[in-house]
Amino acid sequence: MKQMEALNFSHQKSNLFYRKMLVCALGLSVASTAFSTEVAQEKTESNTTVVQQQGRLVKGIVTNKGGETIPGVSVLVKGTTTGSMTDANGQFSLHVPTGANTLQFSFIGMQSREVDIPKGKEMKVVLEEDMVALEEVVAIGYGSVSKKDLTGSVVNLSEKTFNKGVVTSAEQLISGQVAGLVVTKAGGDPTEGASMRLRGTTSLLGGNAPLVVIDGVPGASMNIVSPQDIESVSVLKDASAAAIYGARSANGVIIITTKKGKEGHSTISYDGYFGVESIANNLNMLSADQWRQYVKENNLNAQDYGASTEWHKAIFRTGYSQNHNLSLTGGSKTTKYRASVNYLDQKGIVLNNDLQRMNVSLSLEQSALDDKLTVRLNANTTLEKWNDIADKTVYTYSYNLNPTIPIYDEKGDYKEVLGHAYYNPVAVLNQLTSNKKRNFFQGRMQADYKILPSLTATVNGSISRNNFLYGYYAPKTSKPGEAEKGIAKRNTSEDNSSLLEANLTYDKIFGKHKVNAIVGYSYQDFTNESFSAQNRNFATDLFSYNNLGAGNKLQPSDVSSKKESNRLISFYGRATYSFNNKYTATATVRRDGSSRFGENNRWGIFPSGSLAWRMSEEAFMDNLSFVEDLKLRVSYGITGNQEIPNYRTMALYGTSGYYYSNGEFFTQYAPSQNPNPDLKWEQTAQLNVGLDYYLWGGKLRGSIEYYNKQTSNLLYDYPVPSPPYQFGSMIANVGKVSNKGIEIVIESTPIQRKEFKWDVSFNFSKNKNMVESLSNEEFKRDVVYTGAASISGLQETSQILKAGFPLGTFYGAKYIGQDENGIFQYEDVSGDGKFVYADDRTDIGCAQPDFTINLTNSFEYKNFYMSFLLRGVFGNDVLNGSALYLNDVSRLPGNNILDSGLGIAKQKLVYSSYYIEDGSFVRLDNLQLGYNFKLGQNSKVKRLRVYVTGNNLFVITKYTGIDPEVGQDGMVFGIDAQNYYPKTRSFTAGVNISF
Amino acid sequence: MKKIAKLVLAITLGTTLFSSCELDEHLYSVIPQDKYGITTEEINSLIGPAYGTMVNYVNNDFWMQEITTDEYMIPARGLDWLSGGIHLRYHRHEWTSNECPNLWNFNNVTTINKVINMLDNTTVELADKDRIYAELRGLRAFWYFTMLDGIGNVPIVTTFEASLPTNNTRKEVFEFVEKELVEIGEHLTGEVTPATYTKFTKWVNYALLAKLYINAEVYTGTPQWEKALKYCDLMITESPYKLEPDVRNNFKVKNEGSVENIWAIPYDANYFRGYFIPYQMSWHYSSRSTYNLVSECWNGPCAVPSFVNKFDRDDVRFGWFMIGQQYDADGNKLKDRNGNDLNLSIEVKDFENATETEGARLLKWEPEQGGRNHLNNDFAVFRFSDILLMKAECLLRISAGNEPEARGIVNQVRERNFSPFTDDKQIKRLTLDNLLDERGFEFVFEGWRRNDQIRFGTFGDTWDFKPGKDKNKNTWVFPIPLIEMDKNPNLVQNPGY
Repeated sequence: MKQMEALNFSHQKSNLFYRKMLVCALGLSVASTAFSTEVAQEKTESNTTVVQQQGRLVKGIVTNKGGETIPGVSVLVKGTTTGSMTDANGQFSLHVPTGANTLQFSFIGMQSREVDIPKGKEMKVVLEEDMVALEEVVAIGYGSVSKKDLTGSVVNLSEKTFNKGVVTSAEQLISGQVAGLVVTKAGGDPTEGASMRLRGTTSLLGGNAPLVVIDGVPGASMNIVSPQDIESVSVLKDASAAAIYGARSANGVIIITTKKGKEGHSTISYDGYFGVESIANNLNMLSADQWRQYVKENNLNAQDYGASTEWHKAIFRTGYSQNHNLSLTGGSKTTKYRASVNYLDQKGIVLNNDLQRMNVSLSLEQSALDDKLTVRLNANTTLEKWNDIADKTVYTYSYNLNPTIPIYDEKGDYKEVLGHAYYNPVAVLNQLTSNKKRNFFQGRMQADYKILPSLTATVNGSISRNNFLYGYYAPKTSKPGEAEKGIAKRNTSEDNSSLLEANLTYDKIFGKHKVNAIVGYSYQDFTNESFSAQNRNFATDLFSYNNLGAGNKLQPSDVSSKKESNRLISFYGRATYSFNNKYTATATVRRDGSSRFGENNRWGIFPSGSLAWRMSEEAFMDNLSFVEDLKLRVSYGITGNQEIPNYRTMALYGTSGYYYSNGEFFTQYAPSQNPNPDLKWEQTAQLNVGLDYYLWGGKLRGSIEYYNKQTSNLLYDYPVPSPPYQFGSMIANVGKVSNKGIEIVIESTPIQRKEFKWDVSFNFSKNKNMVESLSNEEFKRDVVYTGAASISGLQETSQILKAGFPLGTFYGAKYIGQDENGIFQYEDVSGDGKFVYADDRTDIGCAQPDFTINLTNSFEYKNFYMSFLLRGVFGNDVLNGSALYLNDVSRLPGNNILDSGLGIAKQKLVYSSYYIEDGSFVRLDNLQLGYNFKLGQNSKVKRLRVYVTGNNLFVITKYTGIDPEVGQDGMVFGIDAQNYYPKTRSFTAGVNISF
Repeated sequence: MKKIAKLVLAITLGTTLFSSCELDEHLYSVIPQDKYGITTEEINSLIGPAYGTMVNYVNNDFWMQEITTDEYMIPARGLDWLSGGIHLRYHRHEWTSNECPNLWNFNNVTTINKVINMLDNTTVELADKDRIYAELRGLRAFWYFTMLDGIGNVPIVTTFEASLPTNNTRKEVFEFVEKELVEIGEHLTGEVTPATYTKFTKWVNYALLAKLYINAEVYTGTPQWEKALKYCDLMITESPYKLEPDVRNNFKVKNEGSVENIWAIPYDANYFRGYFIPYQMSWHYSSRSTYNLVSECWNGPCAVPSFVNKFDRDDVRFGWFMIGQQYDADGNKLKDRNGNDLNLSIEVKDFENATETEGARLLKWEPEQGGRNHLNNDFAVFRFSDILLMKAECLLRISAGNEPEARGIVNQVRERNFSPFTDDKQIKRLTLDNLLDERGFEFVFEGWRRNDQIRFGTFGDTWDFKPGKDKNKNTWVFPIPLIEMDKNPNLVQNPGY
């Protein structure tokens, strides 16, 4: 009943709410004082005073700037523990001891005040908004800024908003939490990463992943830090924010800041979880009995091997994962440190697929020379080893095999039956070895020197190394290794990168003028080396891949090695000027030089500018007292993309096969490409208009953004005439792609009572993508057929790339129904009276969603807390390649089909809109339920928390395949390609403890 | 403090100046073109790719133009080999410029032009530069010949000028090939040694000239039988080539010693791989066990039934088809995927849905135990039997009175295929029809069927799974692939496309 009242109350007087969570997150001591005061008051009625034996009664009312009363304000007599709280009408009365003359008022989210006790009359106390959320410090490129001073579109996430559960990489932490950022992890393979795409697809060739910057090192690998070591993730969305990273920023920038040591108590923390994973959804293939029935009914000549095997289930198992993270932090005023070790052990749901990862990270910070000099050292190491799926076609095998074939024959060996793509998948998974190891190291040093209080010089250097070692063995006893009598492969690579940066930062406030400026220089190089060898025909399987020399059939192409490098040199600058906290202007420029581009276009300039106007500071807004902050932002800038292979501008000789001379073969050297010395950056011009709002004391907060991204000089492989060119295609800057969209973020705290709190975060994003052009005066490309190779038996590609169509446009026959025999009918698009596939293809759908919605809810009740994330994607089409391929009854009896295939008449297979399905879905991505133990002030344990999490608990969708969220591979997406690792569902239990 | 500040600035400035000139590409496993080609050894490695182009002769499009004839086809077997029906369209001559066998072999021409260009500019003194140039021009003329035959009016380009070329007429291309071959003749070697094996010798030149002239009527409208005859006679009288006693010797795994193969492409499973993978493409999945092949078989193409049925069952060459019950290497019966005996039929009932055991498979080149998809057998472009049959054809076409001589030559080619070569196996009266059949028996799967059918005028006829006659002779050349038309607006398409 009381809660009901609270709810009603919240609707009526919507401006008065606690913001306990923010306070918790920031650990403000004021808040904890308030909290403990509340706790102390809990046993009595909250609006009664503690009766004092002597002194006088003081009464008063507490309001906000707008004159609205605030209930629940802590009122404390200064220097005592005597206190009270305001009632539902914002009123308080308190017996103050004699001699006391000051009261302290504090309320979460408001600035605390000390007020002298007036004589005789009632007190009227006005508390001002603290606007903690707006003071939040956000990492931007080469610096940080408080949220209210931001002029660009930047989203900052920290532990509070990170995703929960089996989260093994940074991208999973933020999936669904940032409007406009789509994180896709198509399957449950722990050894495969997720892909990220921000504000649509801009590039056909140049990559679409945002630039990742970890602790100031651009181009870092996400895998070098464990998610548990991440303090915050900033997503730079618009050109104004991203352009400081110039030639690599067209897809946005993700800045990851790792946890560092803090001044104060030294702490030891342990986080651990254990999770169980299973396949979330599987296909419905015919059982052996259904197969037999079909064979019988149709009088087919087919061999029944006598068993009943569910091949598509036999390759799966229950997976588990465990993660342990131990960290030490501490520090004094001059020295701060943090060290952590993270161990992850994950057993995937496919047989013999597992991953172990160990991260070690160290961070040290020392200041000297009266705090003028600060030196920071970071070292992150990741040691990974995993067994991946040695033969990625196992899923297809499992759909192909006749369900009457047993897994094992009567002798207990794997049963093998001859056929195309017909290996026993259980055997393949158990017999083949595909062992990979990778070590990452990133070491970094940064020195900051305060030349003047407002002028700081920074030098920052880092090296990164990534070593990879691969071993593969297909034993002679296995089908894939049988013919070659054993195949062993080894492969190793090393990627090195070094970075040197120097910059000067100027930061000063002159009265109402605030100036911040930075100029800097950056040098970064990347070198990649690799070596691989293989051999065949081994006398024994005992060596596995460990003794290549023992093989007896080395072939000329069995040994190879390669080395490449590229460099970037950059100069950058940014200036921010802010007047009276009201008007802010930012300008950035980066001049990037890249060795990847031709001498004609080696250097590029990437400028941006932005303006922000905090309308809420204007006098005319004073009447709208519920508006605490309202900021209008406009930005425009140019960012680049240079992600093409090295050396594409040059005339090169490479080895290209062999020539024959007098009985022997010799290596021949030949030009390897058409050189294009004019190659340059792909560039994206982006306009962004945003509105940030913070209303009713933060009860309603968020932002609305509109963006328009125009990408031009699109890098792609364009056909060129041969002759005169030697080769028929070359990489050139030609086409144009646009992305326009809106993003709406609404965050709210609908209920905030002492024991119950409800936070909601909602984001909506809509992106409209369009290929504007694929041609210019020199190069012409009308249409590119994409999305091949996924549909067996069909030559057709599933998508087109064409000016006037968005990327991911499905192109095929249009299904219009069935005739009386169940034969599919297709539209005669050309109107010539008959359906001919080649002439009658048309646009039959688009893989891009109309919009996406993410909704996070979190609740706290006493010591319990719960949160969940619902992720929704709407209006996207998916090609159900599994059904297209597996519904075909002509596969029977040799190959198995889907249950649904029995309802479809035997007919010629046509790629049509019948198999294009609505891929809209809503997924309960994660749900966490936890308990925070209440610990006494003197407890040795500072924090103890236990929780259970479920991931991917349900999906609501009309899609008939395994899962509508399918992988995106470059510019081809929305294809359920029949042979893939399915998604998993996991349940996790974990504990956090700190000493 | 100021010192430190200066130091920081100095480091900043220093790194800036030091690094900014460091943006040139650093190369490791590739070589810039201006730094290579300065020794004889390096030059030889750069000439290599000109001969290396020959690996492209038996490519996918080689097989695609074969399925347009009455000899070879790729039926759909359920989903397998359906490929959207393209193979049926090719077989029925329903190709378009957007979907056709791509005989635009300019990648080979430009590669050779590049090598010639490199030689023109090198300072290295090569001992036998004239012969090298002659061989390079000969190779280029061969590739032009393939385009003359396949497409017709292609541009003649021998340099690297940046301008977009326009078409030359088929006649001009014919004359260019003729001129090149005639001009280089004197510089080519007539030696036949292991060192000249696979090289463009004087004899390859004569064989190609004979092939060019015998098709002169097709290419230019004017027959030149006498010239074709002349080069056949030169080959017969002057060259060391002769018929192998057993025709199968020309197709052995180790066929380098064949005295009949005039010009071979040294296909090799490791070093020289084109798309010469007839067994992988054609054989049934299970047939892999017959020879313990390393590679899977794909159960695809087969011979056209009506073509196979023309063969005399006693003809050794009938053995070039894999038919009947199949066995593994140990002599056990092979099974198909449904567990039935693998018994391959000549007949195919339904092109669009053939069963997995229908159709005679290719078995012309000797299979190798433990072989791979890429064959080690060398592929003969020209064989001496072709010279003999071309001579017979020229004689017959020049005058009906030459029939006895021509028949003698044809029977000479037939003789080795029958034991004994009894009277009933001999051709009693040679006509163009049975000469075309004979060419079919002799050169099946060797890539000449389309050329022969066009010259003999049967390419537009009907045969198994090609129910309709071609409306006109537009189909006798392939279109310029649309993708090439799109790239070069100066090109003019062949009529009818």
